[in-house]
This record gives sequence, structure tokens and C-alpha cells, in this order.
Amino acid sequence: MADEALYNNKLKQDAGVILLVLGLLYFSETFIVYRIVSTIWRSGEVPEITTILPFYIIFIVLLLGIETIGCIRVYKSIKEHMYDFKYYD
Amino acid sequence: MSENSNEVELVKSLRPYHVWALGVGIVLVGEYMGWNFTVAKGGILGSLFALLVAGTMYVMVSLCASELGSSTKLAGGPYDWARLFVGPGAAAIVGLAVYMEYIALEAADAIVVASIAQSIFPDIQTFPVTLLVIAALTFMNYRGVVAALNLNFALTFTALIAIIAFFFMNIGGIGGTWHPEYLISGAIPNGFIGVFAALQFGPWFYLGIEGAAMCAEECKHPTRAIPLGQQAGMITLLLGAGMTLYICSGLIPTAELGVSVYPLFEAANQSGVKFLVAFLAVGTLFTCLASANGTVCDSSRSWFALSRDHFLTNWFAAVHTKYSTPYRAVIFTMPIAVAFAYSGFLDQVITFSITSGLVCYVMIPFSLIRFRKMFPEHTQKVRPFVGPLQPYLAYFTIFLAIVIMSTLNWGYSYNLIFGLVFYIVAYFYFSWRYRSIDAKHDWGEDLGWPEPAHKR
Repeated sequence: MADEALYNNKLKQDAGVILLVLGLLYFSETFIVYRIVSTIWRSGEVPEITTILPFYIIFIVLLLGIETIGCIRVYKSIKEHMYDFKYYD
Repeated sequence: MSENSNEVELVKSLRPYHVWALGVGIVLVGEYMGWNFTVAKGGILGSLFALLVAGTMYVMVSLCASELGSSTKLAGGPYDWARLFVGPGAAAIVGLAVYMEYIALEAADAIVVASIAQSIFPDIQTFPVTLLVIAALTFMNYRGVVAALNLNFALTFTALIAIIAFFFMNIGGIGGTWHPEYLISGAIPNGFIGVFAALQFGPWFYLGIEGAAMCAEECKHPTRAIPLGQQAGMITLLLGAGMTLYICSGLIPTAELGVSVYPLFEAANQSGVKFLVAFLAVGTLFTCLASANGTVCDSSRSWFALSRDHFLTNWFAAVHTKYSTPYRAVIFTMPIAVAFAYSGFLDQVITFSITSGLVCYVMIPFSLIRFRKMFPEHTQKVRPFVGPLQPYLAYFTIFLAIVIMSTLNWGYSYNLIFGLVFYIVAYFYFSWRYRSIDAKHDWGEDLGWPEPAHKR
């Protein structure tokens, strides 16, 4: 018989790790893309930035979106199977 | 000999952080050097584009690898997935591609470690040090995977903390002055063609992360360790890639950045902060060692799997009775890595490594598409981790991998042609060889699965 309190606690730790790194990823990627693009945009010396900007937006949304959905699936998978496979014994 | 046994199984002791360490340990070296060739091709805008496009592809590759790795739980990784779900010819070229991708990386890492040692002690020769590094890491992997990956964890974590510390110190105003004019002057030197061409070095940021799933057979709980370790590793690399690009683009003039050997270390030098200079020097050294260590582990597993399935002589499939490692396959990485290191043409070797990686990034999602068709059920036994948005992500991954591969035409067309010819020849050779041997396959006996949908 699995210790439910232990399992819930360990599951929270796994979720915490995922949330922490995801949060850091959201902050760093948006900060970096914004800082680089806005620096070049404000200079007015690189007109190509207007053409390439939509591609940046598409790919950063894809990147963060797919990664987030992937992490949610990982969490759900661990939660679903943790007792069957005795993850935390 | 008592220690030679094919019946002994690989020991199942690895945890999610080992999977993370294996994946990130192999790849983090790409943040310390090599990625900056994207800047030479496409400027800062090209580099950012390559980071995002390649990052998107690798996030999807990681999800495919997580699903396949946690389902099959086999040491061969991409090789085993292609063998089970595509066919013997495809399996052989994937196995070889993984092997070549990692062996070339190991040789490159060892050379860089030797170069760093020479820069500290100018009297020593690089080739003997390269041999020493390769021999020491081979011995460590011979002794046991846990010891090797524990070392990887410590080295990788230190190197990663160095990047994160540098980034936060820089944006906090105590890690050097960030120069916006560097970005503006080198934003897009070769126009849109340059931006597109920069994609060919985009994989440098993440090359090899799929290797994290290759220790599935040695994980205590692969259905948890593989998806968690693989995704955590992928996020770590995305973090490292973005931070590295940001720091270097604002601290090193673009013309110098595009040809730098150690961009992060040079950025630390430009910052003028002694602590950062020392920390990034240690990080560069550690990440090379971690990468070389991880590549020995993964390439030997791929060779072991090829041997176990009779694509090669079965002699390499022996598992050490005491250390539970595929010790002959581990030892055999050494002469091949030394041969690569001796050639000295690092950029050519590494481009071959990228081409090999891209072959894998076509075959991994294709294996997943076939897996889903053959076993559509989502039962705990067959598919404990169900990746999202499949098979659409798999198709998109194949599309991006082919687009990135096509950009190698700018500057490395001969490498691309040689690589593809090599794998086509290998495909036909191994298809012929596999037909000439007794190849039994029983899903129930091998994996405990039911028969595929089309045979029921």
C-alpha cells in the first residue's frame, strides 16, 4: 500500500520543478526576444526587422506553447501512473 | 571469461536527474562554442531566428523521444524505435547516425579540452591530452553508468549555473556593459539569405538532446524519468541558448563574435569581472568534459544495440557481469573517437555530426507516426506517456528538419552530399545483411505488447 501523503508531496515537488523551469523559460525567452528586437527596431537602421518580426512571433508562440502543453502532459502522466509503477517508493 | 555475458542485463538505477544530466551534459557545450557561427551567417537577427526555429523543432523531437523512449524502454533509443516501427534498413542508418553524431562530438570535445589545457600550460601538446581525456572518460563509462552520469550531473550543473549567473549579473548591471550598438551594426549583414543560411548552425544550440531517452533501459522508472528528464533538459537548453545569445550579442562586436572559438568565455573577458572570467573558464572546461562523457555513454549504447540485433558482430553485445555496462561497445568508442580527433578537421567533423543528427530528426518523428498507426491504443502497457498534438507535431518536425538540412547547401554542400550518400549506402548494406540473418521478432516476448493493429 503506497503512502498517499508521501506520493502527493513528491508529485508536488515534480510539479514545482516543472513550474519553476517553465516560469524561468517564459521570462528569459520573452525578455531576450523583446530586448534584441526592440533595440534593433528603435534604431531605425534595420528596415528588414519589420519583415522578420512576424516569424519571430510565430516561432516563439509555437515554442512556448508546445513546451507548455508538453509539460502539462508530463505532469498528467506522472499523476496517472505514480501508484501503478510505484514511482516514489 | 566470467565477465563476458550477453544474458546479464543493464542495471536499472537511473533517475530523472540522470536523464537530465545525460541530455544537457551532451548538449550544453553548444552554448559555450559553435552556436556563434549562426552570427557569422545571418547576424544577430539570423542567430535569433535559428535559435527559435531550431528550438521549436527540438521541443517537438523531445516530445516524440519522450513518448517513444518511455514506451519501448530500450537502450538503443532512436535506433530501436526505427527498428521496431519502420524497418531494418532505417534502423541501421539511425543507429549509425546516432553513433557518428556522438563520436564526432566526443572527439571535438576532447580536442577543445586539450586546447584549453594548452592555453593554460603552453608547453604541453594537444594530441596526447586529447588521448588522455578520451581514455579517462572511456574508463569511467566502462566502470559504470551511474558513476559516469553522477560526474556529468556535477559538471553540467556547474556549467549551467555559470551561464545563468552571467546573465543575471549582466542584466543587473554588475556583469559588464551591454552594448546596443553591437546588435545594430551586425543585425543582418547578409540579408535574408544570411538569416535563412544561419539555420544550418541552429542545431548547435540543442544537438543531441534526444540522447537523454537513450538511457531508458537503465532507468528505475523510465515512464517517469524519461518524459520528466527530457522536458526539463529541453527547457534548460532553451534557457541557456537565449541567455548565451543575449549576453554575447551585447558584449562582443558581431564581427568578432561570428568567428570566436569560446564566445561565452570571451564575453566574460569583455565584462572585466574577474569572478566571471574564472567561472566561465571553468564552465567551458566542465561542459566539454560532460559532453564527451555523455557521448561515450550514448554512442556505446547505440553500438551495443546494433550488435545485440546482429547488424554487427554479436561480440559487442556483451554486458559486464560486475559493472553491468556494455563494456566492449564502450571500449570500442575509443579508437573511433581517436581517429576523428586525429583527422583535425573539426568543422567538417562537426558538420557531419549535424547531418547525422538531422537524419535522426527525420526518422524519430517518422517512427512515432508508424508507432501510433501500429499501436493506436493508449494503454499503460504500450504507451504510458502520450505526447500532445500527435501526429501533427511529428509531421511538422520532419518538415523543419528537412528545411534545416537543405540550408547546409550554403557552405557545406560536399558534407551534405557525402553524409547522405553514406547513409544511403548504409541503408542498402544493412537491408541486405538483415535479410541474411535470422531475424525473429515477437512483440509479446520482446516488449510484452499485443500484436500490432494490422496483424490482429
